[in-house]
Order: sequence, then C-alpha cells, then structure tokens
Amino acid sequence: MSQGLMLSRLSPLNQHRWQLFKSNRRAWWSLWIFLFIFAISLMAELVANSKPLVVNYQGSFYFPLIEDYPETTFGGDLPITADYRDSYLAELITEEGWMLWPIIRFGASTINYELTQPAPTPPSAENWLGTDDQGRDVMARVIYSLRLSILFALILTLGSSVVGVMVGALQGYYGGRLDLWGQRFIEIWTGLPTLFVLIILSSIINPGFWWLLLILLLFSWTALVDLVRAECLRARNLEYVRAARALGLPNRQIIWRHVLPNALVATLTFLPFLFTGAVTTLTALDFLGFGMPPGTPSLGELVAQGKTNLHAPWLGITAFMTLAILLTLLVFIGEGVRDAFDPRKTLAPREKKA
Amino acid sequence: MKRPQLSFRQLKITFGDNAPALDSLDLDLYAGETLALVGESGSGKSVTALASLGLLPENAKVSGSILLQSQQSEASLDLVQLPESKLRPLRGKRLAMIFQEPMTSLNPLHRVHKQIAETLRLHQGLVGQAAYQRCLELLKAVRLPEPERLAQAWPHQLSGGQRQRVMIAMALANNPDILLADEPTTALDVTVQKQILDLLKDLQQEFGMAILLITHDLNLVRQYADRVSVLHQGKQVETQSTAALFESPQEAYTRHLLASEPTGSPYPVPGNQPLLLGKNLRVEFTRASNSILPWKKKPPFVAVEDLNLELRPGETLGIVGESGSGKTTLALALLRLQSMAQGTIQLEGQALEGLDQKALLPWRRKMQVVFQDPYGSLSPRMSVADIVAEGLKLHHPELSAEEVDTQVCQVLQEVGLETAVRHRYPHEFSGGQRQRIAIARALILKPRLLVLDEPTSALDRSVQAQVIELLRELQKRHQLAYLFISHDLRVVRALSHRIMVMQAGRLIEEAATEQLFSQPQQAYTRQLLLAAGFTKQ
Repeated sequence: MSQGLMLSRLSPLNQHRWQLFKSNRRAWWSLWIFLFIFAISLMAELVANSKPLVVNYQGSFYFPLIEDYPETTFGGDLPITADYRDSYLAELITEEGWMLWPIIRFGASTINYELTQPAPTPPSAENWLGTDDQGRDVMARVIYSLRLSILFALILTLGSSVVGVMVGALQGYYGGRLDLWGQRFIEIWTGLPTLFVLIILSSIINPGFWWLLLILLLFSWTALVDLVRAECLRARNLEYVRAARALGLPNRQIIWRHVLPNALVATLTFLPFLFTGAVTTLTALDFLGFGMPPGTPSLGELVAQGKTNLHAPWLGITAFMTLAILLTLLVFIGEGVRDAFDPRKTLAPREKKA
Repeated sequence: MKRPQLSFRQLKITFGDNAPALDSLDLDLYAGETLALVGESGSGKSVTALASLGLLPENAKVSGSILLQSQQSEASLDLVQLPESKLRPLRGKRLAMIFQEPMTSLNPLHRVHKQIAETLRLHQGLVGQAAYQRCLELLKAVRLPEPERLAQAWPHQLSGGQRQRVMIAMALANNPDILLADEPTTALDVTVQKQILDLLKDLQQEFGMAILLITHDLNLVRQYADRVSVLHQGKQVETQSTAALFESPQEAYTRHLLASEPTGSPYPVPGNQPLLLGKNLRVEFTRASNSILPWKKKPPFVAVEDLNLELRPGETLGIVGESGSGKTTLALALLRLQSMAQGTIQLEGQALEGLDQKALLPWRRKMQVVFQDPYGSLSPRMSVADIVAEGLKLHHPELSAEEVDTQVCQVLQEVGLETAVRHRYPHEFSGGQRQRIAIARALILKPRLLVLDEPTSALDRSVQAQVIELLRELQKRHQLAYLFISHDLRVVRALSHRIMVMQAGRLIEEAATEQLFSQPQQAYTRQLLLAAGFTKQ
C-alpha cells in the first residue's frame, strides 16, 4: 500500500528504474539483507545488552534500559547501580519475579568475568563468536560496530555528496573563471595526503565520531565534483535550460529544477560505491589506531585484534566475514542501482514501443 | 528482360510484440537506377536498409525474403536466411551503406586513409602502398580537393560535406552493386546537399550501381530518383516512376504527402510602430590562444557582424543561411541570452542592452523562444503542466493554483492539444506534439515577440505543415512578431513577410519574401535558391 503510494509519486522514468532494480534479483535480495542487518544493528541495545529488557520484581515492572535502578530496589545491599549479570542479584530478582533478557546477554563493552579459561576464549553457547582478548563478547561487538560503521559511512556519503554536488553544479553551470580556479584548487586539495593529515590532526585533538567525520569529509567531497561538473557543463547548453533562461528564471532555480535533476543520475549511481569506500576507510583507520577512541566497538579494531591474536582464529575469521559480507552486499546493491540508471537499459523497452 | 539486383519479397519485420515495423514489402531494385524510399518517420524506411545488411537488432523478427542476385550464377541468395558468417563478406562488397550522420559515422581516432584502407584490406586484401594508392584514387573519385592532404586528416578536421564524401568513398571502395543511402544529406546544408547528390548521380553513371535512396524530402526525390516507393506506417502505399508519382499520385496518402509541402503565405501586417529594433549588432567569441604568452591573443571570432534589423507587431522576419552563418547566435543575442560586443536592442522603445538580469525580467515576458529540437527543449522530469506553468508562476506569483491551471488549459487548447495531456510527461508525445507544448510554454506569457529557432526542422512534412498553420493563426490572433530562423526555404517562404539572408555572420540580402524568390539580387542567394530547387539551372 505505502509502496504503491510511493511509486505513484515517482515520475514514470523513475518507476521504470525501480522496476529494473527490482528485476535484478541479486541486487534486490542484497538490499533486503542489508536493510535487515542495518535494522538489527540499529536495535543493538535490544539485541545485545548486559541489562535485561524488562524486570518484574514483586509485581511491579522495571525497565533497566531506560532507567538506572540501584541494587537496593531489588533487595540488594549497596546503593549502586544494579548489575543484573551478577549471580547474587539475579537470584534475588528471580526469587520474587522474572527478567526478560535480550538474545545476547552482553553489551559492547561488557566483560565476561565468568570465563573458564583466559581470554580470548573460543565460541561457546554463551559467547556465540567467542570473546576478544579483554573478555568481551565478539557477537555483541560486531553488532555495535556494524551500526557505527554503517551510520558513519551513511553520514559521510551524504555529506560529501551534498558538498560535492553543490560545488560541481556551481562550477559546471557558471563555468568560466569560477570553474577554472575551482578545478585548480581541487587538484591541489586532492594532492594532500589524507592519511598523514589525519595522523597529524589526531595527535593534536582526540578525534571522536564527529571529528573523524569532519576530517574525512574535508577530503572526500572532491570525489563527485568532476562527475557533476561535467554533467552540468553539458546540461547548461541543453535547450530546455536555455528556454528556462529565456523565461527569466533566476540561476539558482534553473540549477535546482533543470540542471541538478539530470546531473544527479550520475551521482546516484556512484553513491553505493562511495558508501563502500567510506566503510573501508573507517575500518582502515581503526585498524591503524587513528580512528575512533580506544574501546569503541569497531570493525577495524576487531581486525586489529585478529591480527595480534593469531592463536584465536575466530577473531580474524569473524572480522573478515563481517567485512566481506557487508562490502559484497553493498557492491551488489551498487551494481543494481548502476544498471537501473543505465540509459541504454532504461530506454531500451521504450524504443521498442515507439 | 533485366533481372533485379535486389528484390524484397513479402518482407515483414516485427519488434517484440508490437505492430510490424514493416509489412509485406515487395520491391525490385535494378542495376543503374535510383529507387527512392519515401515516408515519414516510423514508416519503416531505415529498417528496410538495415534488414538488407542483416544489421537489425536481435529482438527483430524477420519473415519473407530479400533476394540478392548472385554474381556467378542465375541463382540468388536470400539475405534473410543467410547466416552471419556468410553475410559478412557481402557487407561493404556487394551492398554498401551510407548513414545519415556524418559526424558520428567516422571513427574519430583514425585518420581518413586508415578507415578507407580497412574495407580494402577486408574485402580485397589490399595493404600498404597499394591500399594507400587506391585510397587516394577513391578520394579523387568523390571529388575531394587535395586527396593527399585529406587522406592524412582526422575526421574532426573535415566539414560535414567532406565527411559524407569520405563515407561515400568508403562505400565505393569495393565497387558495390548496391548502395543503400539512408538520409545521406539530411544533416547537411542545402548547397552541400546538392553537391553530394550530384556526386552520387555521377558515380552511379560511372559504376552502374543501384542506389536505394531513403529520404523524407520529396524535393530530393523529384530531382534525383528514377522510381519512388511510398511507405506509410510499415505498409507500401504506392510504387511508381518519379514523374508519374508527382503528376498523378494514385493513393490518397501519396496525395496527402505531396500536398503537405508548406504552402500559403502569411497574413498581411498592419502598419505599425516597430516592436523590435536592433542596431549595429555584433557578437564575438574569444578564441583559445595557441601562444604560450598570455598577452598574445588571437583576434576574436566574429559570429554576427554589424547587423541591423527591425520587426513590427504581427510581422514575420525570416532569417535564412547555412549552418555557422550566425542565425542562432543573432537570435540569442536579441533575447539577451548571449552577450554582445556592441549594438543596441530596443523592445517597444526600451533599450535592453544595458539592463541587468533583474531589470530585464519584466521584458523577458514579452520575448519568448521556441527551439529546434522537440526532444531537447522540454525537461524530461517535469509534467507538461509544470513545464507550461513554470514561466507563468515566475512572472505572476500572485496567481492561485486554480488560476494557473485554468490558464494552462486555455493555452494548451489554443495550440491544439487536449487539456488532459497536462498530467503527462514529455516522452509520451510525438515530435509535433512536443513542439506544440514548447509553443504553449512561450505563449502562456502573452509575449509580443516570438523567436522561432528552426521550430519545424526536426518534424515530418505533414506535421510541419500543421505547425506552420498553427503559428500563422496564432500570429493573426495575437499580433505576434516572429523572428523565424530556418535553413528550409520552403518553410520560411510560407511564414515570412520579409527575409534576411545571412552568410558567415554578415547580412547578404534583405527583401520582401516574394521579391527575394522572384528577383534575388546576390549570387549567394541565387545559389541557395538553386540548391533548394526553386530555380532551374
């Protein structure tokens, strides 16, 4: 129903593209699997947590995810935040009520103190993918780090395409001196070694999520400029753009309404690949230790753990499989999008009709 | 009795599940004759030629037969049944083709002699010096000047006419029996068109080829074809000798096609004050300097040189000239879409050349433009209503959505479209309908001046006639002034009160329409009229 509504709002051309994308089974399934993984990771707190979702104690309900309760609430001795994984407290609660746990009873930084052997431990019924060298559950960390990676890549991709499309459109539409100087600036700017700048900056500031995003954005916006610029250079001489100028439409409206929609086709086909690139970049930085602050669950950190703990192959294998599956899905989706926007494929059935 | 070189028997071509693109075609092509295949776009002309070469796309279903007479025996080959491997040696050797677009049919990365030598190597095994010598002979045969220099040239260094000559040289390289010419001159200027067709005629007499000339231009057919076959929506309407067809067409559709030559004359102009005045207009383009010294600049390219013009309400001023003569540049300069080096423009007494974009806005409403390409001039992502209403919303932001919609409906009716079309998208319309939408977009602002930049060039003859009729009616109703740019003298004649002839940015001649056609003063004008078939040699 809602899909039908959405489709009817799309122009016929886009409807056709949507159909083309759907008919590409591999891309279509990849999209759904990716969305499923993303949805799971967005709900990470409900899937993997060291706190129960609901506690029923003496007939009343408690929601530890939303509120912190002191141990004394459940008949404990100390007025500190309740540790539901503590067997003493768990016993107290289950005597006079029950607890509803998430599927995985570990958060991203929960350390399993009840390991029977020194960490890292191999996969077991409790820790499905084993634990890392600090005794943290790998499965929980993978789920949390997927969320971080995907969100980071999403914001970075959107940010760099917004900036890139804007700069490209201005350069392409106005051309002339602006274009000339803009191109020279970009040539110099892309010549800067991103990694070194990042390493130098991270010694001055302590980069968190947003800092890292900002620094990477500084260098990644150039990816789309050339593409959009070329499309706009072409579009500004199209007759309907000329007709719009003859109507007296101001430049910003011409760019927004007539030039950009056509340039965006090229951009959209590029986005999934930018996204893939952003995931890889973040992973690489984390692996090198220049990424997120220590302790943050991230795929790069897991790769690094796999490298330092070769005797614990589940770490390396998990990191590899997670990255491989994520990137493969994204590439398949990207291919589907690219093919759906391919003018030869989009227009082919219509030519037959004519 | 002579046997035909190529015969089509009950040829039927279907794409997918659609109605057949070509249905039961029966046609014979004899050695040494020119058979013209005439019809509007979508009538199945080009498909016929592609089928003879086995170059149809894979989703085409072909039935019937195309019989090519064998060189050795009495038997003939059926090109429809022949496998690809047997067809390949025939292409270029027995059957050669010339395509419409000389700009894209040569590979830009190879020199001219290399492209010609390729067919020589494939079919005759000629290589090295022998191939080069043969290549020079061929370039001489197609009357190209300085064949030694042109053989070494890259395609982009040649003019359109020269490229088409090279294409003909390539087609002739292996002395084919049959030459398929698919709109060989449509992309060329009239004077060049004439040269190319004269050349084909000469070469035909020299080599005795059969030519299948595919065209929509009846004027060419009358001058160059021996026999004509008229196609309409994939059906063969009528096949006759040229003289018989033009004198006594048998079928209603043929008569309709012949009658759709643009005719008539514009309504008289009411005597009035000039609406548009242009004085000493000059447009220059800077050229890239090839000196490393930044202050050493090339002299600018002058696209329009010191031109004066005057236009009254209700009057049409036709501007004719070949491509590159500065017609469109002049129009863009008058619309203030192209900066001028000097000159003054007055619209209703107001000088426009000094105004900035903001001050110009109220005047933009009064001068609108319709472009040539009905496919490129409408944004593919906007519905017809959005396209037509865009200017109205800009110039009259006070109008409510209902008022805008009412006006859109009115103007669509005025240009002969149904009001229901406003919710559809441009790609659903034919060329003629799109051009009507483009006219509606201009007309909704109630302009005083309409610049028409080749508005009918991309349309079929019969559609052309309808659009011209529409423009004439609109002019009468609204006292519109038209600046009508075209290379097609027939269309210009049917619509213009006065005509300006331009060449290389300069005004060659300006006269009232009938005077220009009956007593052209300048040699260049006479040459144009001759090439377009208005005067006999």
